[in-house]
Amino acid sequence: MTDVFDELVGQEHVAALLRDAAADAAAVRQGAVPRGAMTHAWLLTGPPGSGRSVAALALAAALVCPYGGCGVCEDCVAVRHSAHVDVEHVVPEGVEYTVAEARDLVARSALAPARAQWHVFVVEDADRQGDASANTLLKSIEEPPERTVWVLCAPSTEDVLPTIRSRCRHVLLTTPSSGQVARALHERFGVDEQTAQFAARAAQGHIGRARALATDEQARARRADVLALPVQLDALGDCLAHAASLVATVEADTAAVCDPRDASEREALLRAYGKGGEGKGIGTAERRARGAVKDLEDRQKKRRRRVALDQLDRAITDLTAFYRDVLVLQLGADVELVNGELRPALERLAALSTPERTLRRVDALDRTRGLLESNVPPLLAFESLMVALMDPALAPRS
Amino acid sequence: MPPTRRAPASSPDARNAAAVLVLGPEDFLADREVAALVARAREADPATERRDVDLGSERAAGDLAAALSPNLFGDAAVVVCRGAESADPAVVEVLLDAARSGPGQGATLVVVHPGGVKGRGVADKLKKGGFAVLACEKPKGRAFEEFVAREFAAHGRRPAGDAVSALRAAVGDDLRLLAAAVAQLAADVEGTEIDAEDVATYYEGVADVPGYLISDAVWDGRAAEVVRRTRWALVNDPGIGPAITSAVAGGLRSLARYGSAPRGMAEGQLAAHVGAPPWKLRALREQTGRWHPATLARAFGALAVADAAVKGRDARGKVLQEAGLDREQSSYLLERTLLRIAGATRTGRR
Ligand SMILES: [Zn+2]
Repeated sequence: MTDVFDELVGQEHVAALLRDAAADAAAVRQGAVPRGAMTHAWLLTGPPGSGRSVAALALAAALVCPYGGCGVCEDCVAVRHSAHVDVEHVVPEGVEYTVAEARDLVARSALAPARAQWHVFVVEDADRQGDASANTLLKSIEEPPERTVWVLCAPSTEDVLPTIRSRCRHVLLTTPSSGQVARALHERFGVDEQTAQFAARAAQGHIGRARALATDEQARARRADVLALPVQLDALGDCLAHAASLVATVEADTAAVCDPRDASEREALLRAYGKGGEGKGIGTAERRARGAVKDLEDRQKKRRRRVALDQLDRAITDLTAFYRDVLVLQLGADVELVNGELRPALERLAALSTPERTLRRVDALDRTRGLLESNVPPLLAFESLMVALMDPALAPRS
Repeated sequence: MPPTRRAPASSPDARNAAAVLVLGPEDFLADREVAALVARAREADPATERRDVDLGSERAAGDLAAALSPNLFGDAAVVVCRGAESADPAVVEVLLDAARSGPGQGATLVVVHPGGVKGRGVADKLKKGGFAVLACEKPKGRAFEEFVAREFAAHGRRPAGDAVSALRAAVGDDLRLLAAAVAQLAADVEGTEIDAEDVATYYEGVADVPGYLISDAVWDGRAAEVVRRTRWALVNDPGIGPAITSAVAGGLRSLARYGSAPRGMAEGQLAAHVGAPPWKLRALREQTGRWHPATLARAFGALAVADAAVKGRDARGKVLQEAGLDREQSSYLLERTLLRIAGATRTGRR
């Protein structure tokens, strides 16, 4: 059988469960007695990259597709591109969902589906919200309108408010093995086997990241730059210079992603307020649009921060894997290296330091993630990181 | 087109004239000129009497006549007339008359006029009628700086660096307040030169303490000032913490870059490398000597944690309030961090 659930890599049990739910849902719409496989509120948890959103969107597609999630019809394609009228795929614009965003969702959830049998809300990063916005959502999740379905995604059940957790059916996803990811890259996206294996290993089971590494030259280059850092951090001046250039690269990449998008959104908004009509009207239109533009700018600013943080987060993830590899070598553990192709650098660092120091560096990486969440400027956070990773023993002896 | 009026200039030797028009809107200067004229007259004759007349009052004519008449014992007098801008024409005639004939043996006639549109005719008449002018304009630009410098000089002091602009930022443009501030500084600060630091020290309660002053104190290793300035800044504006950590981190960045710059860089190149204006290089050279590179390296981590704290979070991204830490404690954490850094100079404790 080929359907939307095939996209779930290494999660056959989850695919079966969701497939069954969709079938039950379709039967109910045709007047059958519910078997209990379907419910109005789902909570999908699993580590980043385990395919939470893939699973959530597959369920959404199966619910709105007339063929139960064929994967090829107009509805399925629209869902895949987050463009289906009855599937609202939401991600927090900023670091967290605001109460206003939650209210807006609840209001929309009261609407009946426009063309499909169900109105589905896929809420990514449902853990990223305060109690106030979670409680706002709770109202609709507790008693959803008849044809509304909530699919919440979060890293773990502990990250979600207990009151919400208890109202949802919980589905646990696991990180696929790199073999499973590599096979999926090869079979579905036609990535050659060697690249697929490298990308799957480097992405540590994160399927979306693996795909980017397999298919996007720049993603590979950025990762290589980051992983070249550890052996270069031998003095304070270098640490500061590398932190500055890393942050500058992230800013430039963020601008490359966000600038065109921001500009076209702004253009569209102004057009909606009547710009582009006769020359005389432009001033009035812009005045009326001012409040809306301000809102848009706020959202764009938050999104920009999110985009930058995601890149910084990837750098931290890659560096963490690097130092874990160093630790593996130092401890002589029989574990496959994530960064096998960097063995000379890994061995050099392993020989220069001790497992304790390596663990401290891994901890510094973890703290940097925390500092960024605490809104510490990326430059300062990465300067302090580079200093923590610095090893003066790397300096060439003169 | 109305003729453009230029600010009146003082007449030469006006301070020795028998009839003086103190003209201009800056009443602090006017008061000073009047006081100086009285003092001068008393220098010549200690028994000189000061007589004040309000030319705007209904009894102005009588008061003025009485003031101008030589007293019984023939003592010298300074007659100080205010309210000239609303004086009656008849009263103006008396003034002109007195100026023409001389106010009397040992007497000085001083008329104070704020300038401006009101009573402009009176001022013009007096000028034409032989009154020497002492101009009291509000000093602008260079004149302002000169005014403050003269204030310092009067106390035997000299403003150094950007002391004048720091003072202006602290107390504003009011000459009376500025003069008082200079007098206060001269009384409290030792040494001939008074700099921006001194100004900040004495006026931090009045003005916001800019983050860079805290940063300078930290990287100069002046621990006591770090504490005082940080506290003051936080008292004035509890939300200023992030601006402080940002400024101190900026100072650290410059310092660490300066210290690790390749040798033999040209000044301009070095300034670009450090990311500071060239005039800052000398201060950086002095600061660099105080620090071990390892201390500076550690400071980055400490400042990052302090920055998170003043934003209400810890280094793991957790909200401090949930950990039972309130704003006061996060301010304390900032202060302690800065103090630890400032105290870790080569000569101080490590
Ligand atoms: Zn379909």
